[in-house]
Amino acid sequence: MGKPFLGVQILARDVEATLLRCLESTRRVADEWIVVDTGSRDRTVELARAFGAEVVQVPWEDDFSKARNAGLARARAEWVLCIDADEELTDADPAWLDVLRNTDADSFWMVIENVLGPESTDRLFHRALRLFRRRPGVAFRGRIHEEVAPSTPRSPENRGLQTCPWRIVHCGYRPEVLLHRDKARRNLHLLRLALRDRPQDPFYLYQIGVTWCQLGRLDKAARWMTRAVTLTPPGAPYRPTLFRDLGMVWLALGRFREIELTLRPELERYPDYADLHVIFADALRAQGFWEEAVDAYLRAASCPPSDQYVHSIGTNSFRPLHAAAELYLEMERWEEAERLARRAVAASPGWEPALLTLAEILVARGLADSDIVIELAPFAGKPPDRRLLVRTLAYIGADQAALDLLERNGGQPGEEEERTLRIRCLMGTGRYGEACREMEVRFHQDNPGSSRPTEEVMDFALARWAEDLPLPHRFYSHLDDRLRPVYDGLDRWMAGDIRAISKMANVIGPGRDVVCALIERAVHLHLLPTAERLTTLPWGPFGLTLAKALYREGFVYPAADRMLDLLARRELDAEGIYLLGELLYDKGHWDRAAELFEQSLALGFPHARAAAAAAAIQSAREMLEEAAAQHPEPGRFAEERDALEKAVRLLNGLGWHTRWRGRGRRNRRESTADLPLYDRQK
Amino acid sequence: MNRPRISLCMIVKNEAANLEACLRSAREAVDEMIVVDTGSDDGTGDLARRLGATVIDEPWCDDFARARNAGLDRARGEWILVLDADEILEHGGSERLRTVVRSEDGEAVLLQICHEPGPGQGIAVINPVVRLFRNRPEYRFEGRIHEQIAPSICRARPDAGFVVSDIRIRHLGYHPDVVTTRNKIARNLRLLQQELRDNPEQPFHWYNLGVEYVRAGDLPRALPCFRKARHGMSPEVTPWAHLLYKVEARCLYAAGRRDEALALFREGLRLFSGYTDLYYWYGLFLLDAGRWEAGTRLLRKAVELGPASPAFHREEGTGTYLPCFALGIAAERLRVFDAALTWYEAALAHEPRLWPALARIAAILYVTEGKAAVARFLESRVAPADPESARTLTVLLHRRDGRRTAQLPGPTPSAETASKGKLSTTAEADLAAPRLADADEHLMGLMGTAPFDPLITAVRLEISRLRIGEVCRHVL
Repeated sequence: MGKPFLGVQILARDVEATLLRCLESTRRVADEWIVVDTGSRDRTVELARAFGAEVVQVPWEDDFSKARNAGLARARAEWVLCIDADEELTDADPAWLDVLRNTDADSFWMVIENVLGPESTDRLFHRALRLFRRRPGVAFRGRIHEEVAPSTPRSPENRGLQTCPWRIVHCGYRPEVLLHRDKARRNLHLLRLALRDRPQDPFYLYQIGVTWCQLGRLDKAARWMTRAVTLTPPGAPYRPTLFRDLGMVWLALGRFREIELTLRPELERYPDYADLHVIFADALRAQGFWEEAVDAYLRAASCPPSDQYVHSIGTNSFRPLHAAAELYLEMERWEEAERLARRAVAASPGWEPALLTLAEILVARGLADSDIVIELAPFAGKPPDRRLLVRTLAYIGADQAALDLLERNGGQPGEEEERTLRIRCLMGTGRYGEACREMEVRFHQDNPGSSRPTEEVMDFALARWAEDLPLPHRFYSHLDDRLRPVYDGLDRWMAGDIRAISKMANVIGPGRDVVCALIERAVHLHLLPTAERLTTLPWGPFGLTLAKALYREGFVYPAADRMLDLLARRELDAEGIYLLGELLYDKGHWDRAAELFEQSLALGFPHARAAAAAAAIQSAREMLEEAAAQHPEPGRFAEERDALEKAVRLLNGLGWHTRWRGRGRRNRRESTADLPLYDRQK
Repeated sequence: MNRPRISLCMIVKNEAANLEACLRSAREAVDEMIVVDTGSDDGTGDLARRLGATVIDEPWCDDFARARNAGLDRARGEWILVLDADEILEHGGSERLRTVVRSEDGEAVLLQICHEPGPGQGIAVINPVVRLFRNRPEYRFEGRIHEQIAPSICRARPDAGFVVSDIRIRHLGYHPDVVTTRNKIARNLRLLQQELRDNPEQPFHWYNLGVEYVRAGDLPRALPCFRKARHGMSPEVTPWAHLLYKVEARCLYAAGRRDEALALFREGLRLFSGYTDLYYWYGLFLLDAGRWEAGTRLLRKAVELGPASPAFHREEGTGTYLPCFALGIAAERLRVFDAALTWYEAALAHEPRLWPALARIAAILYVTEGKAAVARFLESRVAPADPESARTLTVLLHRRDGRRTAQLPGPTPSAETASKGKLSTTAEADLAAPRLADADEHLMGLMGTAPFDPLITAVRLEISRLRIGEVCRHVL
């Protein structure tokens, strides 16, 4: 038999769970396997031998290189592939061995795909020098994060190296795996030893930071990585990754300004590194600089795909595109928002966040529901994920379209989630009877004593009352002892027994909370008559609750009516006054809005402060506009007006204004679309 | 003592308005004044004679060189000084000219033509040009337009010495009259095209043709001319090569061909590593492209180098207050306010009347330290006895940067002195002041809501310029 060509090297201890899969993944391309065991107490050695690998047993001396070199010393193959037991080789086409046989190169990069979570988007890619020609003098160096010497992946001459088409998939970074193996603690120990050998080595400082990160101590991680940053030479290949990791840590710690100052020069040094742009943009967004953040996201989206940097999936496509679309949506720049959201869903069909955002934008742009379905369907994954589509439609309140879709496939009960969606959509389209029946079935199937989410309980009660039906006996078994009398009283009151309530003095406390929640839920479900009816309960006053709920759910003008009534009766509280101020602000009554914001602030609603500033600036801007209109010279105060407009736009970045999402956005759109008619009626 | 004699040689047409100032400024410097009149009908010739000049009437044949050489033919001095009617030899220039011709053994001297901007028209431009040379029969002007003396000197004496002096000639010829300008451009274009028919590869003509197209606002036509000029010359020996790089790169940028512009700047800097103007413009364009780090580096380099050597065509301030001011703007955009203040102060150290810098410092101080700091600052900078400055400042504090300036389009953080005619009351703007005072009070109340502090500071900075007017009036 000839000399082996490609030898696999595995360093192992107690890896019986993964070793075989790892070895198997290399069977088609390798012809030598050497497993260095550093003292396994499980079946690692046995499994390795059974597979046909040579096992080298060495004592563990807190030094990875030493152990690996013991394996290397036994190798006979021409080429060496280093792989860990928790990794697998994929895309390993033996045909590429011919390339290896004829190349002049001494080593190749390998792309390593790190699995971080269950979703296909939870991936981190990096590359490492794992495949190299075995020659005298070629050995590992470093106690930890050992590298092949003399040509190490950190040296600049490796820039021109080619990348092997085979890939390595690594599952060891999944948090549960890390915790289970307590690897991080061990790494920390080794890194400290390594640092003792080479004090101030920026690479080890950086890796200590990474390890603290895995251990959940971000403050410590940031401190170590900051030290590494100041010591890392500009040409170090791991330098961009260091900035990426430090940026992510800072993001999590809320240190946005530091990200901005530190990353800005690096973005020019690594202009193609999408992850850096995304982190930078996230930091700007978090500080409220929306327009600047959009620019940064778009720069990320224009980065070329790149294996040369450690990167996550989608950082140069759907993630920044989606983030920018969301910001444009926030700024009410629909056209740009739609363009970017479309690019995002096209780049990653089936990715829910982008689909939801696109759906919301299409609602804001006034598309009919039937058209929205047509627009979204091609992007609901391959093959199309019907449930995702239904979920999206339900989110934006396109209930009929969602029901049609659910019923198109024969209308069978489907799974739990589909049934929940179906009930929600039935309620939304006013088919309370059917919703009741569906819910009854569910309640019946439950074991006695098990409980349903509060919202579902409320939905059921509201649907029954909307149908003029009493609550069935079964319903009460889902309530705790405190709530039973409340619902009992309410049920009888709904049926016309007015005295049922007055006899219930002992449940007023919890009763009031239940009624408030029911009113809010009823408004959410479009059950306005039921909501109105609940406000007449003697435990009240509930008028304020109803008015605020209407506003929050996007029924802004019905809310305004009630708020004005309450204001006249001096029953509007600080928050209510603030919401009324928002309404006037949105209609351009700046001075009146400012007055209300000031009032609300004086009554102790601090949230009104930003609003008050915005209204005052708007008022100043309008004054300048009027002065300019009367001035003979054209373009008078143009710069001042620009400055004030910019000030208002910037202030929006604080996010002070109520935001309506999903159904709320649709309601508000419909509510304000009726405005001319509504104003005439007033 | 036998001092060398100097002959002033000029060509004129209808320059009665300008000629007197010109001749008076040069009278002391020269021993004879020869004025070639190419057909004036406004009494220019009589005026010249009255001022002591010899007047030669020469018909106009669409040829500048020919007209100029008619003057040279009559000159009897050992040296020739060339001036245009709208130029003035700087005060004290006479003495220095005499000294130069006594002490220099070169064949020709470059004088600094300083193009003064009209009111509110941007920054001064300084251009070294051969305007003083020995009177020899073989030295004659060439070219129908943009006539040059240097080629004939180089041909006659390849080792001839050219001396760069820093004697300045002030050029006042910015005609606010649009029609005159347009006619001049049309005439120049015609002459250049004629020249290029005779001499199709002459890079200097192509360059000048490009410049005329730029003046006419026609960048798409200008750019191929510049390219042709650049390919036709060798940058090491062409005296205007550095200028070509600057002008062409700025045009490319203005035409939206940014990558090409930036590449050309890079190439230009490889060739002319001491040319401050290139660093300045390149840095400015990089900032405009959002490349803060690189742009800042170049602007710092411009400050470090200082004004370019007199051998280069240069714009006033590109090595001093202009890059400082641009660096201040950049720092402000990145919300690094202490750095912005430092750069604005540096700009003011070069140019104490740089109002926009004063206004920006005032606005930043207002936001970061409050009204009292602004008052202190203004009191220390603007003497109460200087009501004109106070008035200018009051108005400018309401505005942002004054108007944009630049002869070529580009992202110019303008640094001009405001023109007086535009100053008028902004009392209407004060109507809004109470509202903004309310707004600012709320904004200050919001400070401390990290991470939004930078945002709130940015908002306050936007409205601050409308707010410091009152402080300003109070102080001044």
